[in-house]
Amino acid sequence: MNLGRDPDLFEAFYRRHVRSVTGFVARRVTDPHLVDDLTTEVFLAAIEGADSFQPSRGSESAWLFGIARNVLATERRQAARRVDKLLRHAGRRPLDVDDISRLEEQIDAERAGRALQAAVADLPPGPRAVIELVDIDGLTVTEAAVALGIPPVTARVRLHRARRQLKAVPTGTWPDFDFVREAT
Amino acid sequence: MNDALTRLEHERLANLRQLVATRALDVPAPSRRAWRPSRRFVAAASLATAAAVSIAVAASHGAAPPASAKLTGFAVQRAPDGVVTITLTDYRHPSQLSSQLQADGIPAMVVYIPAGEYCEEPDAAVVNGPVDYHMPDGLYTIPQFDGAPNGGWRMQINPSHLKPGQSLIFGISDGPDKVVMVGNHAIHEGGAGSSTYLVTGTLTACQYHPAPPPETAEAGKLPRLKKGQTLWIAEGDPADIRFGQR
Repeated sequence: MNLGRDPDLFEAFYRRHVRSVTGFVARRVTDPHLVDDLTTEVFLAAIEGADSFQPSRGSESAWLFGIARNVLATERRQAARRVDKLLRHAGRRPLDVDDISRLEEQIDAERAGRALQAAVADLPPGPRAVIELVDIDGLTVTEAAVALGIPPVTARVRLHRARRQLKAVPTGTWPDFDFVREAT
Repeated sequence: MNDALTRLEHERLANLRQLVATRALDVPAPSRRAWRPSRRFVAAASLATAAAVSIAVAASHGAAPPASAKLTGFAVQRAPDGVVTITLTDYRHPSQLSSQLQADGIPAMVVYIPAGEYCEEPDAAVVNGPVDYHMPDGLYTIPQFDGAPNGGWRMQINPSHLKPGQSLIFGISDGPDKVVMVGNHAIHEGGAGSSTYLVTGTLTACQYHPAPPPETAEAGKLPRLKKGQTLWIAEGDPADIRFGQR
């Protein structure tokens, strides 16, 4: 795959995935500037790591969501250490009112996904990662396994475990949707 | 997805495409830190591009464009008689080209107009009257598209024939259709292609807006055509340039 060196191939790839990547980020972050930054970071990382993509191992989406997870995880680590937010703000691409408005629409559209993120926040990291990718981001179990770098059978077991643990959660603590329960 | 990109998505794509193009030429990549999606990243990319293009222009007077000219998807050549030839492959991202023309003292800019949008130039006014676009004695050549899948546009300018204060705007659009806004009048031009305007006044970066609905160009409200002008009427998403609205 040479999307890291072919502008036309990259543009086609970008157009296929930019909305899903933005949605992935917007389900986890609510600051429009940060959504923009991290979406760009995901594509930068995809360009850098394009040589590592092997179609035989899984779909583009699975590969890209795996990258997105790493970018988000890195951001969380950095955010935890960050003490000078003003410096970061000064380095950002300026967004105009329309940009922010469109990003806020997308962030708003992902409200349900963020509520479910909160619902699974207390699960152990392994099962939580699988259920996030499958039930929130819409990947298949096999794609989630590729994104996480684990065997599909492991992903399936973790998903089952996560859903079982969520069943134990009192209904009153759930957000106003229940497709995770229906999917078990 | 095939939905139209937002302005922000377009801008991000343009920067990333440029980065990928640089990698394609095996130019040493900037540090990971410099790739942060920030003002610093954009500025660094612009500086690197400007330097590369300056080299290409300096080396290409009267000669075929060097390979390095492909770096940014365009080349600018000035022949001994002063005629400037522009070739543009990455026509959706011509801002670097316009900057280069400005830096070289060539009073022209190239703008890309996405379908469904128009570009506002509030401080410019169209120069009315026939314009000779037949080179070498004319002012410019109409942009020609070579038709190849990854092909591009080629146009010429004779800057010595421009009067003081005059500039040329080459609008490139991939359609499907577009509308030209001159003052408060709308002229629909059918099909994808280019539009060239001879203008006076100050040129600024394009201010993009959603195109007005087609009914703003009712036949009864169209301006009278002048000698040398051609009018196409078409339906579809309009896009082009509006002048002098400030």
